[in-house]
Amino acid sequence: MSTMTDHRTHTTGALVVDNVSKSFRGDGGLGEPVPALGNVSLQVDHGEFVSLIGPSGCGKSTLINIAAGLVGDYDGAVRIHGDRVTTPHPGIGMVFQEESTFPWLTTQQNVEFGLRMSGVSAKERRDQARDMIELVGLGNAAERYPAKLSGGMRQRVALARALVMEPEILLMDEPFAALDEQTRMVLGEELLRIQSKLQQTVVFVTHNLGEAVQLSDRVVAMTARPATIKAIVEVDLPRPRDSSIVSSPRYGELVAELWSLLRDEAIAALGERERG
Amino acid sequence: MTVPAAALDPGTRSNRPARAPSLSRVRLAGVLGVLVLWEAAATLFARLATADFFPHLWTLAAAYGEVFSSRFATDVALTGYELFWGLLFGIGSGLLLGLALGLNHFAREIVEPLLVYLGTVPKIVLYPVLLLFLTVGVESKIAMAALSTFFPVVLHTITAATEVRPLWLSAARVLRASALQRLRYVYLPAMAPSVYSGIRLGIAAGIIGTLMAETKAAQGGVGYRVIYYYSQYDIPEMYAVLILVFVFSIALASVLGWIGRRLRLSDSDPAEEGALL
Repeated sequence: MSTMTDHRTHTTGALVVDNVSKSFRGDGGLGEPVPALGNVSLQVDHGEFVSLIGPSGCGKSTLINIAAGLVGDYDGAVRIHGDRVTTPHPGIGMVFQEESTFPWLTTQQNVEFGLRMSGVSAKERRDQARDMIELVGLGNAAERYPAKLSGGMRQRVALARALVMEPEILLMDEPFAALDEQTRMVLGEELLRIQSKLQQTVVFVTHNLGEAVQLSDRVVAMTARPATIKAIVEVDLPRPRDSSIVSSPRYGELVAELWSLLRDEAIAALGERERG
Repeated sequence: MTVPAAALDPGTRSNRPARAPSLSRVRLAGVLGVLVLWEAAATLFARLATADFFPHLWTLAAAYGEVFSSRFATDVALTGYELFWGLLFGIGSGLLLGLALGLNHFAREIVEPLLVYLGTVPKIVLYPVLLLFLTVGVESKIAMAALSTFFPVVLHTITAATEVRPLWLSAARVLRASALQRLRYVYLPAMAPSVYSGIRLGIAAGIIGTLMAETKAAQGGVGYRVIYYYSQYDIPEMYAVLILVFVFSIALASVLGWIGRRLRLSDSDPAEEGALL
């Protein structure tokens, strides 16, 4: 059930994380380096849905930001097609934790943004964006600005904006964290539908155990700071899934298993924060 | 500044009861009301004291004949010239320094508090210094306009640069925007609304500064003309020029507001714009 190192062959991995460490310096770069990630190794296969869970502030987001190419300075290697990632790789798409839609652009224009940067013609990007907006269920909100959309709709825009670039790997950093439980369930279901259609590889950061089980093929449980991999849990629930799996006994067992793995880490992280 | 969402929706406006007066009618009634009040005050003052303070409307209308037959066009041209260069220098320098400070955290920490404090000082108190260095001609008025315009522009530009969320830049990077594209497609649109309101306030401050300077020490210009008529005790002519200044200010504010709405830089409602005038 749990292994620190992945035994699959490295050539098949869509995303290979090889012994990655990262420290940050506090106090505007003048303080002592604080380790955020310690020797993390992981391999994500093509079409696989992998979730990273761990206590808040543990460094899950740091790992996904490194994979996105937004943090160039780190030890070890994150590899896509054998290339060490230091700048955003063309095969990567990302959905962020907070509000990241551009408020000065409509849904349509937001989704077209990446295509426009890549020099895709106006007609082509309009059609592609429209298809993707339909796919995420925003067909009637294409001409609206983000201020006129709900939080859940804005995250759909962010998802469509990433997917329209046809990334091989979709990185999602707690994309539903700010949403209410019902919206989160519905969007999770939609994400499963879209992912099974587009066959994306997904790395999904969350602190919600149920969400991780509902969505993933494997769940990677991480320790408190500095984050290392504590265990990897295979989710053997059948696909296709929808939100009704939350009532299955196996779902409950898996959530309980994850909680037993994370309980000590969560307490450790909480204590660390309370000490300041 | 807050208007209920329903009031912003043009759809609801047409749903109002048919007998509700339209906005333009209310405005027209307002102007007429001011005229009536003015005439009433003029009549009252003529009875009680003197007709000089509140000239009758027909006296006022006649005064425009005197104003336009004088060198008034030259004064307008002079003020326009001073304003043009003053606003250009003020907006230009404000934008450049604002951008530089907005993008440099360390320099901003040092300079911004200074600018905030200096910004609250009425610039007219510096006018004697400008006169000393630049003489009583157009140069001191241009400097006065530039100085007045500079502060709102620079402060708003700094704010605008700090309002560009790092997350937008990250999102743009992952969406393959180059550094130049991020400048054009993220920084520029993200900063535009704040910069726009800075420029708007700057233009207003520049006009105030210029006219004020012209009333203090000048050889011509619209402000000079107002104070000249006052010193000659040509009160109707003085009012006539002042009314033209008001009309110009309102027209300019409307044009800037219209541009802002067209470019989606301010989401204020036309009705709200009207309320501010």
